[in-house]
Amino acid sequence: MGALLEIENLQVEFDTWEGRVRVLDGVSLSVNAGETLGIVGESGCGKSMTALAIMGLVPRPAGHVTGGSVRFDGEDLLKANEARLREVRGHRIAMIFQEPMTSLNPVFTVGDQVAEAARLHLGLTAAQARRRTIEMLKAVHIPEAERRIDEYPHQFSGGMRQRVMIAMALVCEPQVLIADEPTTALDVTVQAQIFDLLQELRDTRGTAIVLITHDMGAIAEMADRVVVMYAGRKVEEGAVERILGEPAHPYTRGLLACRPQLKLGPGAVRTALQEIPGVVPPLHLLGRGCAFAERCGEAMPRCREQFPGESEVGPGHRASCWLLEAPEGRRAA
Amino acid sequence: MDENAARGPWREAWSVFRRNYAALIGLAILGLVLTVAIAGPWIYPVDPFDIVAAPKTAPGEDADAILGTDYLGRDMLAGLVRGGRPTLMVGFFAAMIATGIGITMGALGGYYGGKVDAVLGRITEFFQVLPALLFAMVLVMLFTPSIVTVTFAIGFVAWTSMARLTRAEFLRIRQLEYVRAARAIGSSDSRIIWGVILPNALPPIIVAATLATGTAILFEAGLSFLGLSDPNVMSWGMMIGSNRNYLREMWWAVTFPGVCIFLTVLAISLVGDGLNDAFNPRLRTR
Repeated sequence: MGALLEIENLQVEFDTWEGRVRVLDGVSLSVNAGETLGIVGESGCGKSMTALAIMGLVPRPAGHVTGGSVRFDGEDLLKANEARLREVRGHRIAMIFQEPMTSLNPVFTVGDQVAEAARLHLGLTAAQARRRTIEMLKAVHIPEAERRIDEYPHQFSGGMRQRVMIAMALVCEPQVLIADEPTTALDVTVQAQIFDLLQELRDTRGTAIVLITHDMGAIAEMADRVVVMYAGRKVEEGAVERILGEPAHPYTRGLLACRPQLKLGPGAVRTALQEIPGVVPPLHLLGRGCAFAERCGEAMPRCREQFPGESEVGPGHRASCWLLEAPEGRRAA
Repeated sequence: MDENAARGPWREAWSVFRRNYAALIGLAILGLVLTVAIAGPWIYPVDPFDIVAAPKTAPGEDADAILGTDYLGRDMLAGLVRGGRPTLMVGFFAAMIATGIGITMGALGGYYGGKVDAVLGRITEFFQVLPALLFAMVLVMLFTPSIVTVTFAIGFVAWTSMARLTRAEFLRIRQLEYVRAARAIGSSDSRIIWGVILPNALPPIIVAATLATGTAILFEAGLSFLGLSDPNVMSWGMMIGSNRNYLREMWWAVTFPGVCIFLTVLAISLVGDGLNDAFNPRLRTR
């Protein structure tokens, strides 16, 4: 296919007190240049772990990538050595984090921190890096960039700090930007500004964005394509209009129903219930079947026995649910 | 100054420190001791090993030795003036050595964790369970007692608490978001250890290093009291040590150097406590 970033069958396991737990199981997804891919799901479903695995930052020594591939521009990053990964990180693939309040180092000025990435990868001198940093701070719309470059993180508001983080991530013009819940910690008005900024940067620079969120509103606003994850697996994938308009997986429908003001789909979506009962099961208790079965209103006996394969429900729209398999007839399998 | 001007965490700490009277008094005493240690030998150019008056002259009895003489007739004042420099130097450099070893061990153990941490942790514990003074005595006796060997011996036995402190700070800081962010822009391990985590771990380490200087001075005095010091260098500890047999007849011979040590260590402790308050945001009252 030649996508810019292509993850195939990624598996990540963690050592815990309950034994080895599979936190990512066979996750496959891809992102093209200039495209925004949304990854949605509840807390603990593996969204952030997917991002860390792409960057080669799965926490050691507890975490292990046990299978699959992460192909970036044709190169399998899972097979790359640490030195190569350091070249890629921040330079080709950059990441911004959920907590702008704690993502900046309190003892250095914001300018130092943005310039660090530029000096590291672009080999700029201090003066060049400073000029580049001011340009970047302007690009993310920080007023009075020339003055604020010498200020410390505690002098910035949350929204401004997230802009600094974005400047830091984009200073080397990466091809992929992974945004891990970039607006969760921010006010709603600031959220909209950050999304506008990300969209603007994507459109002017052609950066591919992987947007990780649990907020369907953010997905509707930002994403071109969506991957829905549940308990370490991808359960549905498709273009944003398909996912929001004709969600195929009961979990996706549940997530959409949780948005009170959402009135996109006809009929079926209009559930009175505004929550999905239950919680994501602890990963060490996952059985062989579909992890969502316990919370699914439409679960069948076979859902608890076997994980469903992917079914094509439309062009580029796939979901893993037994409801979508050809009914009756082939049930014996 | 403009209140809204960029203020780094260091400047902020100083503005808190400035309002702490105890710490300022400590700083003043320390400044006085340092001044005397540095400039004293020029202002009062008497060799502390020269015999200037009758042995065991009490203070005020002889104009040639205002503060009296020791058991050999050497000028007490000259000893006090000259003794400051080696005492402070041993204290400072021993604390530096201890801090250097401690930071390295603690940083590597805390950052890498796992096997590295286990090995470094065991080494630290090994040094920790050795009786420090005894171990230092053995080290000094193995080599000839000189100001250098005494400094190294003290530094070598005093680093364990520093290592544990540094390790604890690294364990806390290494999982903060900005460390992950640094890794995400492609920073190397050594860059993250020394350039990202260490600057944030420094405040408690600086406090501990300051207090360690005081401890090292006491250690030096202890070793000197036992006769394990450089015989060619007059330090306060050595003054007490060499006069210890005449303690009942000559109160001044041990009291004056003792007071000097006491004041210096007290001053260092006050400064250390002041730094601790200044660096600890929870104790700040605005």
